[in-house]
Amino acid sequence: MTAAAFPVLGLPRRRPSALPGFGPTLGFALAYLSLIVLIPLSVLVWRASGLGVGGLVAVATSPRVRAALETSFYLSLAAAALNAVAGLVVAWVLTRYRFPGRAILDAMVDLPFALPTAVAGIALAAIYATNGWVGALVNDLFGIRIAFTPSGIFVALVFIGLPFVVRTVQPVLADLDREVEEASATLGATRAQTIIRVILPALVPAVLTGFALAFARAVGEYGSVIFIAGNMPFVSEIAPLLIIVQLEEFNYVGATAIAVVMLAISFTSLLAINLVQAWCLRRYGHV
Amino acid sequence: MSDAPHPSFRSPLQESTAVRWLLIALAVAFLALVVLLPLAAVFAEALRKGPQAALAAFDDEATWSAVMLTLTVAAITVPANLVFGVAAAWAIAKFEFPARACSSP
Repeated sequence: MTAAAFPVLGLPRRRPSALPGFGPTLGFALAYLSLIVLIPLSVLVWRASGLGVGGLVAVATSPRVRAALETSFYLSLAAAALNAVAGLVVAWVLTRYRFPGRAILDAMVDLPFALPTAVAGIALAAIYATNGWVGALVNDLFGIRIAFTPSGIFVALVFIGLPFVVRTVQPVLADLDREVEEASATLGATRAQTIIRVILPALVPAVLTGFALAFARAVGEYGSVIFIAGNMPFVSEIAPLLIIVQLEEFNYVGATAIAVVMLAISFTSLLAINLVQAWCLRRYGHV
Repeated sequence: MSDAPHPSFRSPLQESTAVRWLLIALAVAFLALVVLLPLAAVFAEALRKGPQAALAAFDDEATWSAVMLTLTVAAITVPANLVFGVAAAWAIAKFEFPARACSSP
């Protein structure tokens, strides 16, 4: 049916695949994706377009919005970076070593996925407040307050981003070819040299992917951050909260403008990480 | 000659014992601080006034309707996303088509 239709339209005939289901699966996937993701995002951009590009830039550079965007993005970057390093260590320890309690810890890594964000936020706020378990300790020893400051936001973002890095790196680490390590050892490399120059470069793409996922989640996180952030404008206000504030004032155009700016910056970051991954593919021959 | 390996022999594929235990300690400490502590705090706060008070929270009609709403929504969205995920994965992995690159992370 399709082979007969294409010549009529003048399109080159697609080579029919032996595997079934291209039409239905692609069609269903596109329809679902459009309904759930593409149409809402398009309406978002369309709503914000009422301001024009100049208006969008004006909204993005207004002092309160800029402070909120900077808070959101810099803290997300820092939290994702810490998660990248700590997540790599955790994934290494969980994959390569045997010790009592390893299976329980492996299951615990999924906890930030399972815990509702509101519950996580309240628990973190309780722990890191100045009368909480850790907050009191840190306050007595260093005089630093954690809860209701940007430090509290950082702690919450580290909590919710941890599983992304660990779960992305673990399968790659488990599938790493031992032969390459053995070859490195037989060629005279010390264990440190093998780890730094053979194993870690192979893990860089996975760590980057985990970093990107943790960063993307942290930027959009609302539920767990709201309780532990001070929510003071210019100090500890995150961008999603600013969107809510605009919505409560029925300033839909302003809210969608901030949302579009966040979307643009997120896409740019993900594009940058994709470019780095493509570079890794060219340089190391694998992703 | 004895078949047993020399007592201080370490396989070249293994880190030294000190490094291993240091890494394990670091990972366990990090997970304990970041993940286990909030979990413990949730249970400690919930049971602070004793298990009776905690169970009394479920006597409320509003609590039950909220829980049922969450469970109902989850029961609908998870299978829907499952079907979408399998369909999209099938289309992306098994076939070549333009704009396929947009779908990879």
